[in-house]
Amino acid sequence: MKLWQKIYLITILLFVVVLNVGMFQVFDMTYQKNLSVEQKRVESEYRMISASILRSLQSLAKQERLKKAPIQGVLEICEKYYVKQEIHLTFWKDEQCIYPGEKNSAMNWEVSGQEIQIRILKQNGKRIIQVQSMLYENNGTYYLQYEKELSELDTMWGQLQRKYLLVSAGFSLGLAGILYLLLRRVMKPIQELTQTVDEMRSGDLSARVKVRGSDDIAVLSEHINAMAENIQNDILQIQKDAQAKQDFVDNFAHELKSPVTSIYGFAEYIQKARVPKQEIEECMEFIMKESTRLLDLSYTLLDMAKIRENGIMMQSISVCEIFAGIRKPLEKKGEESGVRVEFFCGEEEIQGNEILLQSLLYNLAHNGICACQEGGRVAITAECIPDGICLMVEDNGCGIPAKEINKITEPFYRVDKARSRVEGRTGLGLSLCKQIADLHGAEITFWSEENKGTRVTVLFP
Amino acid sequence: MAKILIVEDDRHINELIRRNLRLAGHECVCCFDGKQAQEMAAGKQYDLILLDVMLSGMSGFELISEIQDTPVIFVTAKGELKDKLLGLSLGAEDYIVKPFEMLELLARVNVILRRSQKEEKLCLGSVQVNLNKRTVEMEGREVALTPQEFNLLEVLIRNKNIALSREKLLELAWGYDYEGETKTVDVHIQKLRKKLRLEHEIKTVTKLGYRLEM
Repeated sequence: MKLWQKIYLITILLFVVVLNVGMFQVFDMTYQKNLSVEQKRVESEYRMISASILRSLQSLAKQERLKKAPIQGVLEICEKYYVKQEIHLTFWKDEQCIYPGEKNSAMNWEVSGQEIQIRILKQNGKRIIQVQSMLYENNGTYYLQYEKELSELDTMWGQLQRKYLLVSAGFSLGLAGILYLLLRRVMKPIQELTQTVDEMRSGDLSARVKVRGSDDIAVLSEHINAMAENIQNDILQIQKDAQAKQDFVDNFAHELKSPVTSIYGFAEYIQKARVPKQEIEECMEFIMKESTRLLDLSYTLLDMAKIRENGIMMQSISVCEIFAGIRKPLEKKGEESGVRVEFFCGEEEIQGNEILLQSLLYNLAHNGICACQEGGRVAITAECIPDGICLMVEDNGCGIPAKEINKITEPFYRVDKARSRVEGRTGLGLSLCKQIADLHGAEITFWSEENKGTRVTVLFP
Repeated sequence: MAKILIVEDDRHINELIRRNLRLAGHECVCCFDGKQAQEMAAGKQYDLILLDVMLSGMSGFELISEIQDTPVIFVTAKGELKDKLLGLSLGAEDYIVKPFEMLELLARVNVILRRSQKEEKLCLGSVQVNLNKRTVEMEGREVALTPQEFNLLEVLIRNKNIALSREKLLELAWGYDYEGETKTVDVHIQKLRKKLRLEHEIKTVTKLGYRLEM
């Protein structure tokens, strides 16, 4: 059963019970009061009747006619007068009923003294108020009984009750209707909430609850909206991460399969085709180059894995020492490509791992040399600035297009794919650089302008 | 025989494919960049395009929707089923995953080319072979070959200039379920050489098998 149905039923039930019990109490009190008023009225009427009968009896006694027939006559006259009010009189002398009226009732209770006794009894399904008393003593005791149906009062009460029942039922129905509308209105936000949460459950995380007003439900709605927002963001992030991972795997497969394809293919070609000696040598060269590429790839990947898993030893090293380690190979590389490589350093000292920092600078400088044409220049500088120590690699080569600069540290991302691969580069260099910089808590930043050059700074705080 | 455009950004692989296809007598044009390939394919002068997926400029999956009327085979490292299904649903005739074997590449290329060519006739010295009618003529006179001999000749022609091992020949000419000995191949080769006077063209490659050179 739904919440609103429960509230609805309980409210209706409570209303009907409280209303009817309360009204019943009121009715009962009023009825009892009315009854006692009626009793008093009946009593006074009885007194009047009994007084007049008593006077008649006394006058009869004076005339010495206190016999059965004259008494009957007196009572008959009296009853005739009152019969319109449906009053019945019964008269006894001692145990004998003298005036039976229309009924012949036996005397059915003891009356002592002159006390008036009133009681209400049921006869043939009708309620009757019965008044009795001892009336007169003269050669025997005379008793008078007065009986009147309570039908007038009862009829009135019956009508009243019916009317009340009708009104009460009407009120209850009215309340039921109003309550229904009211509850539906109050429950509408909850229904909407349920519907929206259901939509979210079935996967539509962009569903939002409409927030109305500022009641509890509005607060709940707001919280649910905020929660959905967070979950949606998290899931987007997870999807993004998964996509990045998938991209990495795709790229990795590509990088791994390309050299293998070449190596296997050229070997097969030499084996199966009729190839002149010169072409065989060409093919051998391809095979060797691709093998080197595969080897470089595996070394770089291994380096990255090592850094990730083992952490590194940090120590204080001077920048000049780092530069000294990479100066020879870089100068040689520069000579081959006709690029000038220059180093500038002072007395700066960095907290870090010498081998990794050399690898970082070597990679950056190597990229710089590759970007330059013959006659280009690559400068590697260390500088002490207020924010910390800044290592900088600058070249005046081809630069990086602005839209690609954010992606260059992604693994296997290459700006010039075809050329970079032929040169046997892995596509992991800058990715490794970023990892090394992160490990040292350094910030790596790229500035570049196409056809003018690139500047990379690594800031050690 | 056919003019083929190779779109592959890895220069060595591009070179490898070109050399292999040249053995089968195809004329190849190399292209290393997606954008450039789009322009080249627009001319519709190629019988077949071999297309890599991960390209600079434009991916192969994007490029294929620009190519019309020219059959395309994907040659890619993306070997997952969903990639294959995507490639084929985009309209590629075939999908080859790297690293591939030379024979596989040539076989798949031949299948596609055969579809578009009506009659395949070629000359082997003084011998004329019609691959559709399965007839062989020498100096104008028909030479009677057994079906198995013709099968073997066809396999050699389709993989000309490539050395085929005896096992490979058994597999290609006799079928996978044939449980014969490799000696059978030698016997049939001898018969072909004798009947068609191809002693020079069908070479024995030591430790490997046979190669039809032309």
